[in-house]
Order: sequence, then C-alpha cells, then structure tokens
Amino acid sequence: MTDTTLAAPKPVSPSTQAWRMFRQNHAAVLGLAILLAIIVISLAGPFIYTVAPREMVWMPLTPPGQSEYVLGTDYLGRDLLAGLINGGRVTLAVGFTAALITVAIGITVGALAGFFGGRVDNLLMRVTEFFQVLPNLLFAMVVVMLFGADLLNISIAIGIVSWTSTARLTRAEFMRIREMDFVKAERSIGAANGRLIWKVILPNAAPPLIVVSALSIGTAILFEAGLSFLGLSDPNTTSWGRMIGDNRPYILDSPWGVTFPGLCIFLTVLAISLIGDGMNDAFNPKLRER
Amino acid sequence: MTNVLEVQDLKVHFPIRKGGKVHAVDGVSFTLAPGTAFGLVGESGSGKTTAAMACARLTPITSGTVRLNGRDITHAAGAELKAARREVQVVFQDPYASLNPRERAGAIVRRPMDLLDIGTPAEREARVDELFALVGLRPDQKDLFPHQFSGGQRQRIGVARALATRPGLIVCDEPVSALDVAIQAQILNLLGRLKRDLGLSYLFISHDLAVVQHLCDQIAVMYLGQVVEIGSRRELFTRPMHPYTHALISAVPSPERIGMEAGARIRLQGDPPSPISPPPGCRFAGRCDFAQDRCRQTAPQLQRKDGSHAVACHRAEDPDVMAAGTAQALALQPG
Amino acid sequence: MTAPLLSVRNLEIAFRSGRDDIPVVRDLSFDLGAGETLGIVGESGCGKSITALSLLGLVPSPPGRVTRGQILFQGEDLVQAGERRLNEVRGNEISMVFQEPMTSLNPVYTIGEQIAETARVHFGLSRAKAWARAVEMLSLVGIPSPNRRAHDYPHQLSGGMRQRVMIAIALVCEPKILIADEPTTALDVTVQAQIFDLFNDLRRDFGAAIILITHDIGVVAQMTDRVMVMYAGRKIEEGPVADFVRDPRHPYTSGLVSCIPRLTMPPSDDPEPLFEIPGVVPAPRDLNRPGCPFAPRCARVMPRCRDENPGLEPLAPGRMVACWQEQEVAA
Repeated sequence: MTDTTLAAPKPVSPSTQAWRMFRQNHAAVLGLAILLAIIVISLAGPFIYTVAPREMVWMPLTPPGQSEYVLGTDYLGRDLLAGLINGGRVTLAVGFTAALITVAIGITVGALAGFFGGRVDNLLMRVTEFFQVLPNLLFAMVVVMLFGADLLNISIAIGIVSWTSTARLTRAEFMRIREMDFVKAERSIGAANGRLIWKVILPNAAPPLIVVSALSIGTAILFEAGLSFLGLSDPNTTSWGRMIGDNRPYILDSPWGVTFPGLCIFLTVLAISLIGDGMNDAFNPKLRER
Repeated sequence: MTNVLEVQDLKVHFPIRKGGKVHAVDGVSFTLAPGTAFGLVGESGSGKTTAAMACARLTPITSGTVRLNGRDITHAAGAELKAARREVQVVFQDPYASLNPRERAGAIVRRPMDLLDIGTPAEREARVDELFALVGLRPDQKDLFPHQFSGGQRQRIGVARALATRPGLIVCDEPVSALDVAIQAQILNLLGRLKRDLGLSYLFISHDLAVVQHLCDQIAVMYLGQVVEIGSRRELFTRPMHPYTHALISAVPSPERIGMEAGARIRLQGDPPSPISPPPGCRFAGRCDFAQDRCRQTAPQLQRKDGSHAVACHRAEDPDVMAAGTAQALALQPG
Repeated sequence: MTAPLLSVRNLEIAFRSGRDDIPVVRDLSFDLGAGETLGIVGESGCGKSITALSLLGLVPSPPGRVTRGQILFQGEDLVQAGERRLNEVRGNEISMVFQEPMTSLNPVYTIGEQIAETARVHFGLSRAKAWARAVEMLSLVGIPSPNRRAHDYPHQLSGGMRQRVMIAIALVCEPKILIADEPTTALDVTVQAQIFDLFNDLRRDFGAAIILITHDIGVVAQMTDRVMVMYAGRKIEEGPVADFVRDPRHPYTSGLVSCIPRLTMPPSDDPEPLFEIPGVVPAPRDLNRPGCPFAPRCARVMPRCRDENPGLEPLAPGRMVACWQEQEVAA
C-alpha cells in the first residue's frame, strides 16, 4: 500500500530551496545587486569609459566636478574614475583568485584530515597550526618580495596565509558527516574513498563552505589593499588598494584620492558580507521551515 | 543447503585513547539459514549493532570468521569484497540520516547497481521502477529529494536501495524504531512480505522484543558483547532461560498486562559493567538476583539445552531460575 | 465533585507561517485531577508536545502562540499570566521532564549544583541546606551513593541516571503536576521500567498528578489511569485506560492499538501481518478543509465524514469520542 494517493509534488532540490530563501532576504539581494554592478562596471567599463588610467590627463589634485574628469585627478593628474574602473578589475581578480586558492587548499587539507582522521589528521592539523601562527601580513610580504610583485604571486601569497580557517571548518564538517548513515550506506555498496570524499560528503558539507568561501573573497580584497598600501603591488597595474597607497601622502590636499577607492573597497566587501549572511540563512534548515 | 551467514567467535575491539580497548563484540557465534530472520536483541552497549555491521563488513573485525553463503569474507578485499557487498545489504535505523539529502530518490536506489557494476544503464533504470513498485512507491516519485518524503516513505526508499542488487541477506538495524507507531506496522509488514515473496534472509537488530518476536524465527539475546541466550522464537519466549532474558521480557510495557501487580516484575539494579574491562566471570552477575560465587569467578559458556536453544548461565537449570522464567512467560499469556 | 487541579478549556495554539496563523492545536479541553495520571497519545505532529509546553507558557514564540482558550490551574488562567507569575509556576507547581536528558542538563555544573540551585531559588534555602536537599533528591530517585554522585558532571552519568537527575530537578520543589514528554524514549527497556517504577512511587509519596505524553501504547497501558488520543491537533477520544486498550471506539484509536506488535505467549510461528493505518498524518496546513481530519485514512468513512467534522460527544461517563459512526450508534 502506498503512503499517499496524491500526485507527487515537484522535486525541489536543496539548492533550489536555498535560492528561494535567499531571494526573500532583501539585504542579501541588495548585496548581490551591488556586487554584480561592480563586476559589470569593472569588466565592461574600460571599453565604455576609455580614458587611460595611468596617464596624466589634467592638473594634479583636481577636486571632483571641476573638469571633464568627474571624480577629479590624483597627485599625478591621473583620472580617478578611470583608475577606479580599471583598478576594480585588478582588485576583483586578485580577490577571486586568492579566494580560489584559499578554498582549494583549505578544502583539500580539511577534507583529507576530516575523512581519514588518525595520523593523517594529526599531521595535517600540525601543518595547519604552523600556518596559523605565522604572522599573516609579514609572511605574505616575504613571499611577494621573494617571488616578485605580480598579480598571481600576490594572489598566491594571500591564499597561502588564509586557508587555515577553511581547512578547520571543512575538517569539522567532514568529521560530522562521515559518521552519518548515508555515508555508511554508500560504503556498504562499495563506494571508494574518492567518491565518498568528493561526491558524497563534500556536497553535504558545501553550505557552510560556500559561505566562508564567499566571505574569503572580501577578506582577500582587504588583504590585497593592505599589501598595496604598503607598496607591495604589481607596478604595472592599478588596484584600489594601490590607489589608496599612492594618494596617501596627499590626503590633506586632496582627500578624494583615498576616499573613492576606499568607498569602492567598502562597498564590495559589504556586498559580499551581505551575500554571505543571506547564504548562511538560506542554508540553515531551521529557518527554512518558516 | 548452505547457511546464508555463519559467524564464528566474532570479536570486534575498538582501541581507545587512554590505551586499552572496548570489547564491543566479544566472541559471538551464530548461523542464519536461508529464508529466515535472525534477531539480535539487546540494550545499548550490548554490541548488537557492531556485530551486525561487522557481518556486513562495515566495521573492522578483530578476530573470528564471517562466512557469507559458504565463503569466508572476514578478510575479503577488492573484487571479492565487491561480490560480497552485492549479497549483503543494510537497512539503517534513521531514514532521515541514511539517505543522502542531495540526491534524488531514484538515484539513491540506483546507486548500488552503479557502484557494483550491475546491468546496463537502461536495465538499472528499469530495476529502479520495479523496486519502487515493490516497496509501495510510485515511479513518478523518483525525481523527488529525500526531504520531500515522510519518514515511512524514506524507509521504503532505504529498503528499495537495499534490494537493488538482489542480495540474499539484509541487515536491518532497528529499521522501525525511528518511525511513528502507525508507520512501524507498514514497514514491518513490508519486510515480512518481502521475506516471504523474495525468500530473503534478515539479520534483524532491535531493542524491541515485541518487534523481534513478530518478525524473527531465531533470536539471540546479547549482553555486553556476548550472546547470553539463543533459540527459536518458540523456545526463547515459552521458556526463557537466562535471568537477563527474563528481565528484558519483564520490562516490556504491554497492553496485555494492565492491572498486573508491579511486584511480579523483575527490576534490574544499576548499570552494566564497563566494556573496557569486563569482569572475569559472568558479565551479568553484578545485576543478577541469582548470582553465586562461581558466577563471579568463571564465565559461563553458551551450552545447548534442547533443539536450537542454548544459554550461557551456570544456574540455567536451577529450579529457582527456571521458575522465574516460567513466571515471565506466563505473565504474557492473555486472560 | 471538586474542581480539577488543571482544566484546559477550548485551547487553540497557532504557528505563524508567512501571513497566516496555522493552528496546530484546536479546541482542546481536558481536566486533570490531583494524583491522577493522564496519558496523551498520538503520532508526531498531533500537537501533544506543544500542548504540554503551553501548560508552562513555553510555546516557542514567535512563531507560536496560544490564540484562544484558557489553561486554568487551580482556577487561575495561565494564558493570561505574566512571565513573572509563570516563572513561579514553572518548577514550583508544574514541572516538566523532557525526552533527551543529555541536552536538558547544563554540562558545566555538577548535578548536585544544578538540583541545589533550583532548591535555593525556589525555597530560599541556604547553600548547605540546598545541597543536603539535592543529595536527598538524588537518593529519592534511586541514584546509588548520592553523596558521591552529587559531585558528578552530567557526562559522567548513563542515560538512565541522567533522566533520574532530570526527574530529581523536576521534583525538588514538589510540584503538583509533573509533565513527562516521552521521558523514556531515549532509554533502554529495563531502564524505562526503573523510571516508571520511580514515577509510581513519586505519585504515591507526593500525590503529584502526572501528564505522560507518549506514542507507546504499552507505556500508556502500564502507566496511566486515563488516556486522551490526539489526531491532527484535536482530541478525538478520551476514556479510562482499560477502555482505551480493550474497547477503543475511534477508528484511529483502534488502529493505533492494533497496529503494534505485541509480545505474546505462546508466540505464533507465522504471525499475521499487522493491522495498518494507511496513509500519513495530514500537515496542519491541509486541515482547513471541512470534514473529519481522519476521513482520508479511515476504513469506516461515511459520506457525512467528508463534509462535517464530528465534535466530541460523551458515550458514557468519562468517555467521549469524535466520530460520526460511533455517535450514530450511540444515539
């Protein structure tokens, strides 16, 4: 006898459910809109607003609204708006790449430690602790100085110093999920470890990992800004952090040079935080029932 | 005909942090004939689940042998283990935890065939339809996710998954104890019907004597990692011999016993001893009303009494102990 | 007849979902006399646990709240009572034992401290006296060497021992009503038997009334005087326990009683299949349609059942049922 004679409801995957929850969160949707806008402007902007960002185009330290360059110019007479648009590309690129590296290392280490436990776990956790106690900024600076300040090296340096918390979270999730019966059920039909780790446990551990991964983009952006501010940036590119660093000595004469890039960083990180918050709620099964 | 399962002196010990080890299963032997259900009964810590999981090779075996359809699978690996996995499948206790929440019901049921290389993709898909019908689900429910099913339906999915590879033996780990009362009957009837129609054998783990009596032909009572009494349904319930079995039967709350004097019940005192350093004698001696010095000094062996009935108790044939058993059996008689 | 200790009148509890209030308990009335044990039986989602919480003013809010009715405890309406008054009632007059004893105890205090603290707050005892009282309670609930055990932390105790500690905390203030929500579901049968013996002793010694919420028919039969069956938020049958087990009237009740396997002697070698109640419990959201909520699963359904919801009608003194067929037979 069947349990019910009603027609089957529509299949709703956990991800669809989470997306529905997310859409109800106005702040998160606003965050997503801001981030998308920033991404679109950074990608398409240089083709539309074609002023060269690294050339002197007007009188240095011109305030906004007093020339055809609406946001004014910096201490070398470079257009701030062009700098922001082009710098966004670099900042976002470094942010995403560094976050990707963070997540890749963190999830791999955490997954292996959490899944196998025992000696593997012990070893990997000691390594994790080693990276945790390193002074982050200093170590990243050393890496960048040693290998050269190009975008990839900067991203790698940021990734290397920030993966530990992701690893710890992944490990905890894996340890929790690997004890669940559906994992045992997979074992009982002969699933290999690789399948258990990547195809069975990881998707179920995904929700909190996605949230921290998203937030780590924001962290990476801030980190990049910090490095650039200290002068450790690719000399051939412009990023928001670098703009702040460059214009810092002239902050009293022309506060705009640091304010605008600072605002951009603030908006981007805020947008990412709002999205992360929204995802956190969306993945929380307790809130989903409402 | 070879036995579906033969377990000889099975031991499962878990090392613990401080050194020493937990004697989860400590010398368990039994055989399971084809088409029958074998019940492992006991309370938490009795080792019943660990023993059954060891039989399904889901827990490392410390020593002893497990034979599946005549083949020793104790140390099977690779292709041999894969072959064994087709023949023994598990239905888990909690239907909310045993289904991957991120997979659709149809994929969950198909998965064992995918992983154990059974049939062509088209054949697997047809088999999934067949299995859905067999356990009372509709094929159009294949695309749903576990959270869209009720507890009873989820357990049906769990049963369908276990049947996918046409195993001869299914290990049922408390398959109804997480379900609502009205749903328990549906699942128990389903298991009973499948056993009859498909000639399945069950290794059935439960703490609920009534469920075990209903479904199992042979029953073993476990206490702290060991079998203390074993016998057919009729032998065990008409003449329970071990004082622990008496206590278990006595503790079952039953509608039949309305108004029965509470004094006629057996009440165990205290907790079971630690499985890390079990006492040298009978493990039940500390809580047994009939324990004597020899019970505390030497461990009783499982001894066959009549038919398939065997008990591990020095005083099983003592008139006092036998009278206590008779009293418990009589208390169950209607009227 | 004297006034009952507790009298629930037309209680309705609803949960807010989006813009709607979804009632999960509807028009529920029952009485509890001093020293009586009342069983509340039903499947998960029938509203039995939320009813119990409402008696202590503990309905999780938001989203839940009592939307109608009265809970009269010794004549005082607890629905109208403020949080301060409810705090006096909780523990002092009405206390509760939950299903999972591990999560209900605070892991960073010893069990002695936890019981003593309750005694201190409620009776204003000195620390020394409160500690003595805690040890006394532990011995009362059957914990061996209570003097030593009082210094243990919750994780050092077995499940059965923890549940005894919970009961000791619930009883330290000598409440008039003890509400036990599936108190033994997480425990082994032999431990369950010990806990129930303890309940019976306490009822005898303290004269406390007990509300026992469970889905286990055997437990109800063994422990209670009177049984109330709930289905989809409503009471559908009530009567003495012997009638409940031997002569259930509502088709749902008789289904519940006959769908469980029973330990029998001699055992049948080839047991009949168990009785099945087909289908599943309806979701609270689906209950706004007319008719008896059990009608879609009922084997004895009549046309009238689908259109009109039967009210509770008395069959005999102390017995009532909400079923058209039974009421027509009785009329």
